[in-house]
Amino acid sequence: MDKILKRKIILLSAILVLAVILGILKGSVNLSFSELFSKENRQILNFRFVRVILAIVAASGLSICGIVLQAILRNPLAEPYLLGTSSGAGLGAVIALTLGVAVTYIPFAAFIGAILSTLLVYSISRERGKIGVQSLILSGVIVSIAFSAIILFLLSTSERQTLHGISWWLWGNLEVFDYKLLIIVSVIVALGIFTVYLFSQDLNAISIGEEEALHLGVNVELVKKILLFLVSLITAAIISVCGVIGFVGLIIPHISRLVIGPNHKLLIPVSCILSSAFMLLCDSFARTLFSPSEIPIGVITAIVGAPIFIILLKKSEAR
Amino acid sequence: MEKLFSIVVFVFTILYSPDSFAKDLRIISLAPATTEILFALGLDKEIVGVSEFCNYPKEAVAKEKIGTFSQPNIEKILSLKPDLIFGTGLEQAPAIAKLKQLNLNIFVSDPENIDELFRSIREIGRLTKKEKESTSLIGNMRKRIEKINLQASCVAEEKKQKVFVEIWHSPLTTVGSGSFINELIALCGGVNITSDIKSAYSSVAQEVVLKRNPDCIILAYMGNLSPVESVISRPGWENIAAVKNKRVYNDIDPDVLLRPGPRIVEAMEELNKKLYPDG
Repeated sequence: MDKILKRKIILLSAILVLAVILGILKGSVNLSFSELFSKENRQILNFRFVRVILAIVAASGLSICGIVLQAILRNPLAEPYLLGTSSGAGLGAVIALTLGVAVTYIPFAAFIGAILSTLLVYSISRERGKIGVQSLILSGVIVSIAFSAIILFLLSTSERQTLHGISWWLWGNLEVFDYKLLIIVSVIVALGIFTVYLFSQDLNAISIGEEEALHLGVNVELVKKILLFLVSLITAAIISVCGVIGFVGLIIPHISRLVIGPNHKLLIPVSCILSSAFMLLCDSFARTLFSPSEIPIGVITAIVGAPIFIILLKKSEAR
Repeated sequence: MEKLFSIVVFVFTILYSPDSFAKDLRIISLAPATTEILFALGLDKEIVGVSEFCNYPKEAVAKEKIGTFSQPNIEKILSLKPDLIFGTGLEQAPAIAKLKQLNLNIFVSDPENIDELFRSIREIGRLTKKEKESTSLIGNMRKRIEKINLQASCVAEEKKQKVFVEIWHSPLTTVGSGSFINELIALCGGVNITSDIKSAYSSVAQEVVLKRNPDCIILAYMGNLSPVESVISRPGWENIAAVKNKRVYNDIDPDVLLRPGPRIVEAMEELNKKLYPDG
């Protein structure tokens, strides 16, 4: 068993390495190997390298958030944006633009919006110091709907046509203009994932059931609070740098579970590897399919991800 | 066919019978571009309603508002009893389909190039009995365009300025050959670096901009929120000719640049000045 496990992990890592190489070699501009590594094209190489890093950071962060929420909420449909982060970030950005703030501050506004929306969701669902699983899901959905409505309201009433750009922004994009922002986000996501990993055992217990976890000596409420805080922090950071990229946070946790089983000690690192490879491959499609035009990455993740997921699901059912 | 013809004749006789012109024509414009054309034809008095986005000329701002660009208010439009409605395509298509069902007279002006714009203007002139005005407006625009184009044709092929137009930064969005701006740039003797993209708007990776190395970058964000510094400070962009030579511009009014109306020649003259400052 251990041997099979090892082989699986080696195979996945190999796929990730290939995806990284592909992400660097292939881009919107068609360059041969020697051209790419010539001095003249140093900057293009830099761009691609940075893009690969963001893809890995965003994918890992999103998939880990998906894992945590699916475990805590014991709901297979849970995904990073369930806590209202995406519409919160969108609202933050739209308000900033409505107020006439320069576009360079959108990431900051989006981050604040995402954090505030999760705080709102959290405080709605809290009752007598406890967070109810059902009420968390419901309040997340309701806050999302309400915020989306406010976004649409602002879009439809504002005379600023700039806001049209926001709908593009919400499709997600891995291009980075601000390296400082990328570094900050990477640190937040890396520390976040590391901390989540420390809670692997607790996640194992909670995903069985809160009663059971309590019997096993897990301080369920505290763990939930910490993990929810981490999830909202990671998601908000990722949104601020690359917008909303759907599907990765929903589907990679499931695929990883099908591949490696439900133990979070393995699930967390494997999800990071798998999601990064997946995101990089999708991004390669996005950049090269209609080059020099770029397709929104979120479109590709959904189109590629859905069939893969269905095939794996059918296979596991057949077993 | 015959039936269709007779309907057309019937509609025209109603529209143009002296009787219907005894009272003033009541016109509604749903799009900023058509509003500008109508005002340029001297139809100030006849316009009874415009969209909330119609901000030029300043007389347009004072007109009754019939809703936003994408969501005109049908009830409001009906209450203004228009004889003629002018609109455009894009997001307006669904609203226009609805208005057509109500048997209102609608003319859709959705030009994709200068020739089509001229045709639109002529058609609008014909429908509003401003044929003379439309002819002189077109003549005037033609003259100014030809003047620029004449200069442009003197520019040697290898000296043609390469232009990158940025519509939005995240994702980095630019214009392809399907856009009006693409044609304007070409008429000014410039080359849009992404004219190999067919659609009007598209997002591109920054490596494309870097590789194609534009001489000039035009920021045309809808709503004017694009500081030049935000482009200059992008890592790696310092190697682009336009950034190196401080030729990143955000001072062409995007309303002028993006609206297919009479001011398109102003946009061209502005563009020409940016591309060839020495004439």
